[in-house]
Amino acid sequence: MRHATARHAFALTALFAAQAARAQTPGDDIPPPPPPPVFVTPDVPAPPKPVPPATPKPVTAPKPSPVIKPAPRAVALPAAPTPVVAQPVQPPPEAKPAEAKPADPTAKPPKLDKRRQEFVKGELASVGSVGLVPWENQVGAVIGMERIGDVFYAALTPSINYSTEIAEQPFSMSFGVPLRFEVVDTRPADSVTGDQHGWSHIGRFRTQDWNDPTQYAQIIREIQYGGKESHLYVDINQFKASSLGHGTILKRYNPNLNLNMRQVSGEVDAFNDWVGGELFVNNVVAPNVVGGLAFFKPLSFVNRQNYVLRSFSLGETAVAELDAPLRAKVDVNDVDNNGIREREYLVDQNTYKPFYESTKVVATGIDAEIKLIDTKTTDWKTYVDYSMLMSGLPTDGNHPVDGMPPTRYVSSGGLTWGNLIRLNFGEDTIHALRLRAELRRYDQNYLPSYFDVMYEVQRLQYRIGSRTADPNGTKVQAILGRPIVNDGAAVLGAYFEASWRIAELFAMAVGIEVNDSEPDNNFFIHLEMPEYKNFQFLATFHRRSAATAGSLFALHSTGREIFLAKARYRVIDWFHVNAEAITPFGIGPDSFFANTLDFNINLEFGFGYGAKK
Amino acid sequence: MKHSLLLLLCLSAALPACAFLEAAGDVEVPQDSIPHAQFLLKWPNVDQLVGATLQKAGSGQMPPGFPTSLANGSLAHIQGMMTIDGECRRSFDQAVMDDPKVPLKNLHVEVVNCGTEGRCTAECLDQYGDPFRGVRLQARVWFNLISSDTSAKIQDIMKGQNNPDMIAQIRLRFSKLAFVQDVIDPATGAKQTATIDGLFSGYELGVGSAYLPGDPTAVDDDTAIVKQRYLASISPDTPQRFELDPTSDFSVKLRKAIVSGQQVWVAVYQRIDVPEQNLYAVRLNGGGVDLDFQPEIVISFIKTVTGAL
Repeated sequence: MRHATARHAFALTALFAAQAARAQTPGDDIPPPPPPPVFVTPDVPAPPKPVPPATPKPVTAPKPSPVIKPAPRAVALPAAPTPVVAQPVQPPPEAKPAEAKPADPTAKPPKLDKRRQEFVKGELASVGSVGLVPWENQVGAVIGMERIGDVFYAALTPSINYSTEIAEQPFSMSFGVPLRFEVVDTRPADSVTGDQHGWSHIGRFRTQDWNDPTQYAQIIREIQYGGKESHLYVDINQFKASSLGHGTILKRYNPNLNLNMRQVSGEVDAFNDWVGGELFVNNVVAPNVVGGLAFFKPLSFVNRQNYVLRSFSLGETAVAELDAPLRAKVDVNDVDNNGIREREYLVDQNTYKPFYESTKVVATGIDAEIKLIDTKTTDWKTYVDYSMLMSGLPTDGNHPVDGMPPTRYVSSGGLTWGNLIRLNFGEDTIHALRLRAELRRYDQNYLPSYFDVMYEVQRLQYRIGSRTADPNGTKVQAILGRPIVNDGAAVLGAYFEASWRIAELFAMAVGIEVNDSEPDNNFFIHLEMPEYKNFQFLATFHRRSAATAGSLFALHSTGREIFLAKARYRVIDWFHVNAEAITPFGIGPDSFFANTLDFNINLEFGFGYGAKK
Repeated sequence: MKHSLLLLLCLSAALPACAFLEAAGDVEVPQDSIPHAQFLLKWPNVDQLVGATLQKAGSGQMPPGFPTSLANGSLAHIQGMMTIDGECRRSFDQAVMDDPKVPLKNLHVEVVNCGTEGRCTAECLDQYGDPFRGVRLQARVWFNLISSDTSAKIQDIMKGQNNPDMIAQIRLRFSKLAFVQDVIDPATGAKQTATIDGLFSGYELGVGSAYLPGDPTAVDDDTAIVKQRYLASISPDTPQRFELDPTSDFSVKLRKAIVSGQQVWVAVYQRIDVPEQNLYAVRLNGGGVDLDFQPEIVISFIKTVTGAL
């Protein structure tokens, strides 16, 4: 197989586009709506903290300080669902002091003050997102070069975006139409038919992007209502990562990490003081990974005012992949005519999707959670979770059959005890800190957070970096088929994650996931500089599936790293330049998944319309 | 401002162009630089293989009526002879090929008798490790992959660089690869050539270091290239490419040899397993392997350039 590595430059370029709108409207006196969380929170949503009722106390004008503003959606920034307003309401100078007014027991608390006092929680940094929605109330286009497989295209993506508020909740839509025109096809001429490639089809429109009705969903870049942890949250997008519950089954799963494919995922969350739930599909048109969480807060019936009782919840999570690769097909017929057959996967030469025999993978778990501390500055909850992983494994052993192999049922499980601590401190400049620590004990053929950040590529080729295609190297076989040794002694593991955000100035996150025996150690670090004059910056590094905890910090590459670095510069109001260094995953030159270091520059043109946000 | 915009536009075009250069940086050594290989690798005469046993028959050590020649004998006859002698394997060697134009030498053919349970068991396992019953035929011959002329042309392309990593891919493009034998048309009585690909299993063609079995200095680095499943797809109308696994030990040695500027001989081996039920249908005399292939070498242009910097 030849290259099938795509560079969806438009998606990656879009990462910073939304910030353009913000950069262009520095003097806006209308605060933007609270941003939707770009990165889903893996925790069961808690009810909003009680808001102090309106009082006749004098309202002192707070300083217009650099408190945490809504995160620009374009950079997948923290997604704090309860942002503090950027411009707190001040009484007009001539207004009488509030205490002079008679108390009005029916008066509603000032909405913006309510927001200001809400606790900053949710993800503080956008770990796991590969691109975001451009602009707010703008229309324009991104122009650049892209590569899909061995073919280079000129790419033009006209886009339009609209944001508003509905029922005091943010609502935004963004649509884009990726259009590609062939520049050059670097594949060798077909030795049998003699068909030439090269420049012979320059300017040809890439119809493969639009020849399947399901592909029309790709014009949806985002439709979002509410924020994660608000009572109703709807998010349809093609850039973000998602988690369910505590993330013990599905954590930071991004359906678009394989940049050869574009999927529009969907998530709906809803809850109240008694029940709640989350639903997720990785593709709203043709769902493959589907999951849900339902939880029940029985002690709310006893006393809703007591946060301990109110926060206690029992939940059940289930996630399934309906078309999970069980055994990959290899290119025995050499469809790309390069002579590589059993060392590369069989890939559709138009869509660059690999072929495989499939099965179903089901993960389900139960959990209980309770909040131990709930103050204005500190929030601490603890939880326990038991999850299981189930699927079938081939039984044809040394006599592999062509086609779907016979299978046998296999399951495994793991126990997690976790703590999540969220802290807010500072006056003029709010610092938000988020800490998560987990201890785990699980079967050797189990993997916590099976649907993880790299799942979309590891599902077919778990040991990415081995530089060769292994038909039986799928994630199902690599995990559930792992040989049990040491009399089945349980694996002991730990997870720790910390993220820290200082208003709009800086955000970072770091996480490490280790265990005592399996080659499934992970590490990530993420840095953001959301907005500095005309310049923006973001960088994320993941190292996945390292053999040992020590090797997480080795200097040499394992091939299982994700690196995204993006910078954006506003040249003039309607013109921006995006530069990025990325390691996209795609079917590589030898038709197995591999990441390569790419550098891209794209040009972005955008013009505002309607009321500025 | 104008200059900045122009610079940015140039950069936006230039960076993807770098990626393009990288993708298009592999160049194939022109096929007229590497000689095409087309020959019929004949099996040895049956009497050459089992002649010693037949001589015993002629000298009165065998029962009366035992044939003194198996010119038209099948593999079943050969297996019978070997069983009589209690042998697991018998081999035949030919240092110089009959046709001097063929770039081959040192042919070594082995017949392994996998006839009865408990005999030659260690040598008679199939590809899955299960016992095999029948006859296994193995041939190994030295092939001149890179001649002196070819080596010089490759050196020209590589601009004098000798970095083995510049050899991005070594592959063989087969237009013909078939096991054939002479058959008599029962209707006309005319001799014809027919393929017998359906009569055996476990076919494998590969390459390795140019040594003969028994060589104490030999290193087993055989690397398979073509397997049974691909035979049916090879024809003059549908030529098929097969690469040499670049991660194999032999490939590493071969790349070094190619950039050394010397001619290169490699051992080409083939093996087939003829099951018991087909032994009578396979004859050695008049049979062989009909081969037509073009060696191809792909050189990484980028590595050539960067190596020169």
